[in-house]
Amino acid sequence: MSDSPVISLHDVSFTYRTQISRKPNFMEAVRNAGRGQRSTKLVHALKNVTFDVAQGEVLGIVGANGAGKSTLMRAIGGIVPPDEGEIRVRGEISALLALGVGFNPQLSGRENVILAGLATGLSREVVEEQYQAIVEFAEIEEFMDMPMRTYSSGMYSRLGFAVATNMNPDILLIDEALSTGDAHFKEKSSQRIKELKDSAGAMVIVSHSMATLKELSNRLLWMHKGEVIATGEPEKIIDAYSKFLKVGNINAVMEDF
Amino acid sequence: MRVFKPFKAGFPNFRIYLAQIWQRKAFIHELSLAERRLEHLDTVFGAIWTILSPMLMAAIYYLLVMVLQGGHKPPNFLVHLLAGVFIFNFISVSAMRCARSITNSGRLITNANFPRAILPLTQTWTSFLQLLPALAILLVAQVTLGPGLSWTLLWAIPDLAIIFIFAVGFGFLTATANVYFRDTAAALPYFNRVWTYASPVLYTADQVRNLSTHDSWMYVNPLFAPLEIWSGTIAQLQTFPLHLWLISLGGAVLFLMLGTAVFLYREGEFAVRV
Ligand SMILES: Nc1ncnc2c1ncn2[C@@H]1O[C@H](COP(=O)(O)OP(=O)(O)OP(=O)(O)O)[C@@H](O)[C@H]1O
Ligand SMILES: [Mg+2]
Repeated sequence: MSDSPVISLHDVSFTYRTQISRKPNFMEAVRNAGRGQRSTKLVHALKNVTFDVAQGEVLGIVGANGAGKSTLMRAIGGIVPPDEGEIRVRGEISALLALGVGFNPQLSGRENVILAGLATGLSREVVEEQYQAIVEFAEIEEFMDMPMRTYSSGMYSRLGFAVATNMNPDILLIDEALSTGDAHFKEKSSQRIKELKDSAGAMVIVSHSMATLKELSNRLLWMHKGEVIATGEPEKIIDAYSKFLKVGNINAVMEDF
Repeated sequence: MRVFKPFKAGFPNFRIYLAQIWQRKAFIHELSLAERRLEHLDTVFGAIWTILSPMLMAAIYYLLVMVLQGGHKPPNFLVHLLAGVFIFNFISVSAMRCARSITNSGRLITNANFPRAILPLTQTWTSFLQLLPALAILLVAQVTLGPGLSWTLLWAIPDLAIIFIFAVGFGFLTATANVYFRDTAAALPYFNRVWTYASPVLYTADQVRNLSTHDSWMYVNPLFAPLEIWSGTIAQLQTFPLHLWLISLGGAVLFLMLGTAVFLYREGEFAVRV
């Protein structure tokens, strides 16, 4: 069982259907009844994505803004259902998507941390045990009783990262959480990810920082407009991707890939 | 091993889902407390404020009934009225909070995976906690203006449980409806107002019964029987026949099942709708 992939995506496609009208409401539905198709805009955020993540592997994901990276993470986390295909995941997922904690920015950091733990289904005792470790790791003890809306974005991501990595997940999904921390915290979280590599089942990291990805991941996956362009050795993918960023043309880059 | 497949407006495994919710009961209570702190509902003034609005409502209704009925009112009418208004206030507040529970949690829902039902459940629980100080007032009114303490009053507890079950089901419905029709929350106060008038709050069930020989249609309103039992028990120390309890429980369970079904059927889609 342990040599089968921890995360496995098979031909996964996902489309956002956004109604052009601001917010769906009943009066409008009545008015539009019988007029056929409502005006919806389709965004094909994932197109036939297929890949596996093996036990102990750290998969990095690169791609331009709007490439579908966050959507992919949501699909793996079971938050959005795919339109086509199938996603198989083995183990408990801790998703740190767009700064995962934050049940309510009006609530204090302490309340948010406890709630985040309880929401993942941990018992109160376990959450309280983890709380101390989380605060120590995030190093923002004196701000824990302040509402989270008063946090700087770095503090937000520090706490989010600390929560996600302290809930003993089998699978860790991290979406750009590393980029807003300062140099000291970046170093610390890289260290933490390396530690977790051994204990956690698998990790998927989305980042715009090539240095971070080069340092942490075993393998890189490059996405563009919902499609997987290439996957492979971090060095190789980063080279190709960097070239693409300069040239702005996929085909030109892929010729000598 | 978890498998995420295309959303086909289907049901999750009910037993597993229920276990997941049960596992998160601490979350429900904790979020409820935190939100109450936020809205200052846990302070004395907060509690007074939340009681004041239904009390004012009851005062207006009392005047209204006095004027319309020319002083002929049922015995212990004020206690009857307070009892009904407090319960209806609980149901409206709960329905309202539930309606916004999903649509106000957009970020949370698009970034974390958990059984969504805990969000409306939290709101019903918050509304229930908010009802408790009102019940204390009701008890004072019952003792000073009403028939006074008696063991019969204990029948109000299972009836309250039935009303709670109803509120949970209704909350699931409004939570789902508001995702698809954002004007649901805005329409709710009117809806609830009409529902109050159709329930034995401004009048007693006996008064309706005296109007015609065919009176069973009044139980089309699933809140009629629970409220009849509720205010009858508290204001008159009446006890009620089994069939009325069964009608009450049946209606509440039906609403719970309907609400749960609608919510679970649609839940998988919330992340792309909020
Ligand atoms: N909630 C949504 N509703 C409609 N369309 C969306 C939604 N979220 C994302 N999209 C669209 O899906 C596409 C992929 O978005 P996604 O957030 O996955 O990109 P990303 O790779 O994470 O980008 P970034 O690097 O900027 O974080 C984009 O075209 C975006 O417009
Ligand atoms: Mg993103």
